[in-house]
Amino acid sequence: MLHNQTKETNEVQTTADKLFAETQKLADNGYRFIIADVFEAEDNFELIYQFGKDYDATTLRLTVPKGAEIPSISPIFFNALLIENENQDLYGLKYKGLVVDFGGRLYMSQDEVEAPPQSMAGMNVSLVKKWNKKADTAKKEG
Amino acid sequence: MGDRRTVIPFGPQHPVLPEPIQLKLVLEDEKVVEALPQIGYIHRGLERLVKVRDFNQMVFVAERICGICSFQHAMSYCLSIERLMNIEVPERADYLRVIWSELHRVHSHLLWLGLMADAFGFEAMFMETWKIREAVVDMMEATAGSRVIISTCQVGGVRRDIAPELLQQIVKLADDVQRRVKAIEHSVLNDYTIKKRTVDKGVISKEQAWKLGAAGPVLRASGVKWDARMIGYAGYKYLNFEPVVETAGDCYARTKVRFREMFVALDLLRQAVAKIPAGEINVKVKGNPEGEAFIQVEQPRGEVTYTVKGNGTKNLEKMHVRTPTFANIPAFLTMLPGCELADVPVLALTIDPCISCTER
Amino acid sequence: MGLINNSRAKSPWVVHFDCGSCNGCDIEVLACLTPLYDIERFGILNIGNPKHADVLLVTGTVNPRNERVLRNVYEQIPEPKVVVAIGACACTGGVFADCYNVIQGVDKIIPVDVYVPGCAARPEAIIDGVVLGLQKFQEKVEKMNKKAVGN
Ligand code: SF4
Repeated sequence: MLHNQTKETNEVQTTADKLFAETQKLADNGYRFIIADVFEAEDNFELIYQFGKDYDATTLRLTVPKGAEIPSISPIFFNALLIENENQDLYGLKYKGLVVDFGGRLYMSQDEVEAPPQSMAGMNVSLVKKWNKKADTAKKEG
Repeated sequence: MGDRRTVIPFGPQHPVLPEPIQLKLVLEDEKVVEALPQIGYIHRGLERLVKVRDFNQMVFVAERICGICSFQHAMSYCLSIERLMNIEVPERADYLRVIWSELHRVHSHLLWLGLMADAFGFEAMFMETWKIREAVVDMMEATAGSRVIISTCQVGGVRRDIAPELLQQIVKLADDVQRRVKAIEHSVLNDYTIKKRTVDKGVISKEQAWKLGAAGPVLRASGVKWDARMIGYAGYKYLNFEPVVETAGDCYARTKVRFREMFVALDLLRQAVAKIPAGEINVKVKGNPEGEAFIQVEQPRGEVTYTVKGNGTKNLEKMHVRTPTFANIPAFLTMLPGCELADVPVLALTIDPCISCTER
Repeated sequence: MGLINNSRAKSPWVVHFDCGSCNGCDIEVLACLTPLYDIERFGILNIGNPKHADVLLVTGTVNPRNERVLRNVYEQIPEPKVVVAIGACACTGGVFADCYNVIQGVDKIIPVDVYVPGCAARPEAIIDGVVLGLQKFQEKVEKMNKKAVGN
């Protein structure tokens, strides 16, 4: 259960297919989009969308398997654009229907490193470069 | 000439922007028709440091997300951890947190005002505001021993106490700053040139601002009465204040909001000093954080949110920070089309961009 | 040439480039310009254009994206030039040294003459660093003069 400072947020469990419709419903009710978070597990992602109205917060929570496409909510809330692009960069999520798609290059430059999986965080560039190279050769061989 | 379009790269190294960000501006003659940001020049990836630093050490990393609102970042992080571990912070610590937060707010708004003046070419006012700011920064040094990154917050309270004589000094400082800012306020808000360059520029309506998720002064200048301090975290639940609201939604309104916010912050300082109780300043922290928490805190630039997840070990599983500028960029992008190229720096400055916290 | 080079050393112009700092060091660099610290009393002037500058002040960590920009700015500064790395981040990567997108230290990219420690570096330290940089600058100028005479 998520808490904000004073109380628990209302939480709604949803799925990837229903996400867009649920978001639209919230938008029609005068909510704004605050932030989306990603929790990474072994073979799936847990996504959390935060919406706010006055001082209340509402959470949409869904689980998607790795590699699945997620509908982008940026056509409804323009400001979801940045965070969805960020997640594309840092977690390799795939969004369908992004208003502006940076193609996983919002933070990382073309010829440089990719963000390592969360399990490898805390490594510096030179190590990651090595890791990327290894992944590349593995790809070629495999 | 009609459909001739030019693309002008604005930044990354630009005199009015202290930090690198690039805007690709598509122009038709002098008018901007489209703008696309290119960020990532400051991306460090510090959120993933949670894997190698334990939750107490992360306070110092969180603090360095942004050097201007550093204390508030540390405080938001501590609040979220305290929420996970159900820690009750002593009342005196709550008040001390308010005092340092509001000192940061005053210094940040003064800093912004200086940069704004510099963008207009008012060198003298830049110097003047930064001179006032020095007094605030000196107070930070007197109370914490360091000028910008003060490292006084810790999980479970604060690290240092402020002596009673110093508290009185803070009141004196507040009066002094109030007097000096009042003097500038008059000359800024009534200046012909400044009015010419800000009134009716970059207008965002109330609905737009809310829907785009704008934060802080940008949101309040459009007439939305929303201030995360009203949630009542830290010592704000004991104090009296009203969010500052303007309705015009243009650059001038945003300037005005920041001026008035400074006075509110000074008032909060006086209130906090008058009410602060004696007692402990921190509690011992036992155990490790577990669970999820979502925290909203009002920084000088707007609302910051922290999402943390702990798994019962000393390292958090995930920390995610959404910073005010991150929220304000969509609003900024909608302001741009239709304005003149010469207005872009002013528009950029009125959202008070802080790129280092946007990209973390 | 002698006259120009000498006056260069007496009134160096600095350009400040922020590559990924947390702003803490940035605002201290700016604070140096303001009345309390007033770096102009050493004849130092802050400008926006690297082509006019003699001294490059770098704050913050380098990452693969701004590395290119940093190199570009450095190359645009005419010889002789001095580079001052300000703050723990610019010297070694500071608290961010372990992040995946951080290259530890500006000196991995461009030659650095003076290192200013601190997080955030204090204005006094920055001024000391720049003044130390000026001595190095003077040496470089003299070397250039000798070369000019030699030819
Ligand atoms: S050295 Fe410290 S204050 Fe300076 S940019 Fe780095 S983290 Fe910020």
